[in-house]
Amino acid sequence: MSAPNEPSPTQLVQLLREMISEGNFSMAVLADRDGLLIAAVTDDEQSSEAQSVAAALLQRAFVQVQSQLGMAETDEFSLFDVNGTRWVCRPFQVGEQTMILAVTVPNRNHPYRRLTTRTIHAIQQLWQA
Amino acid sequence: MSVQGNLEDITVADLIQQNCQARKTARLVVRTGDKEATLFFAEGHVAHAALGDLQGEEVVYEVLEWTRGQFELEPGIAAPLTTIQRPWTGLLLEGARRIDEKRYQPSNEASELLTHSEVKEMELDGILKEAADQVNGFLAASVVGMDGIPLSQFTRSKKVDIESVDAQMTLLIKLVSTSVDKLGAGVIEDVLLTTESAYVLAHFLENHEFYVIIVADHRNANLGNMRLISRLLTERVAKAMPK
Amino acid sequence: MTRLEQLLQEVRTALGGDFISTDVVGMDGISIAGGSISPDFDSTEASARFAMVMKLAAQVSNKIGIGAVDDLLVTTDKTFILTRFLGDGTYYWGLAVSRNAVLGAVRVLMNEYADQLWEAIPR
Repeated sequence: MSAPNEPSPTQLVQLLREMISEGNFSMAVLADRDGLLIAAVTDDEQSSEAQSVAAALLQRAFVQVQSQLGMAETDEFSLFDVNGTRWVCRPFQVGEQTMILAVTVPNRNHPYRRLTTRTIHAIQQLWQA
Repeated sequence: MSVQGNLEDITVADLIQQNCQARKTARLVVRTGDKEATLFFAEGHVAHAALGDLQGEEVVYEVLEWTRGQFELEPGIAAPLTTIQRPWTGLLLEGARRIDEKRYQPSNEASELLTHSEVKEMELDGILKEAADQVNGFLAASVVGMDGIPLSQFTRSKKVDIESVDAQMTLLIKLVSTSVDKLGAGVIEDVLLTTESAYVLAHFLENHEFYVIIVADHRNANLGNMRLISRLLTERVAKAMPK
Repeated sequence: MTRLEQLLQEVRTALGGDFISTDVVGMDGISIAGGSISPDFDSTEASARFAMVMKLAAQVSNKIGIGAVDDLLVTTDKTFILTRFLGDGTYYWGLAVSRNAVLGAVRVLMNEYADQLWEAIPR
């Protein structure tokens, strides 16, 4: 089995930028399972690192919960604030590596699912190309 | 009080490393067959070495090849003169390089292997160059043996002396490995040194005889990106390694 | 309980089931506070060994010319071991957590507590 090719940081950031622009999201972060930042499109570097940590912590918690509830694998979890801003996390696999795509969506009715799914597929294809 | 031992239990390279790291003043007498060499340690250096009429660095390189024999280490004996300027790390690196060169003297049979080796090393060079495009803030990368000798190096920044990185990180990694081993803390996978200006990440190949180093600028690198690329890079390097 | 021990207890609590061991250690290798909850991890030996590691790390970074050491992270198949100098570098803080820990969160925690630990060291 050949190792996947690794996309350049620029390619990953470009994918995130396209997603943000098309979806009118305010920021996007790609984190690893350890809560470390892989790539981000944001004005606030500290916030992107904090989001990476938060995404990984929540991912771990949800894996435990779904195991206890006997649920199938979760591919999404969200937090809402009182203003309706949604923070969406989409965990996914690239080979054996777990990554988490986190985006900030302006309000609870704003579409995001199709775009984030498409971006995840694009990231997976970049790594497998 | 002097310490005596056997070169089959501890190598000359290890004796040099231990005494220099501990900044000992001592005289080391090493015997093999009918040859006897004397090395003097002073404040973290090998200050002087003598073997018959020969003095200086060349004695060290000869003694580094001795794998059988006895040694006697006497602390507190100062060097009578200084004939060696090179740092001990440089002596060990040059000594290892000379041993490797002698080992790979081309013969009819060996020349085919050498060609295969050369091809593999070019492949390693290519892999490291690709890594440069994949790591944010990339400065340098290398594939290094646990003897500190690099198989392949690539650097994008004159600010980084990759030779020095390889030699120094090998010392650190050896000490970390020993510590982790003695503590029973598991099988070591990687070591990340974070400093004011850089991340230096060393990721072991599975056989633990080699590791991949990536150096990146602290301001521009992302740790997640760096760790992920180093893991994938290590897999590719392992496949490309000369056998 | 001293302020130092209290802070380390807060760290232990924050890490929960991932916590293995933590110590604040002088550069002589002697721990002044902390300890291990795991019988398989000898924090006294770890303190001494990693004092040598941190000294060498400082020498290495100086020789390479990449500035002062912030921290060292060792990843094994079972643990993350994180060590960082405190204050003027006369002490270091060592923390061992299970490999299941969220490493980013552990680093954030260490960033939060490092200065407080330095202030709490009796002088």
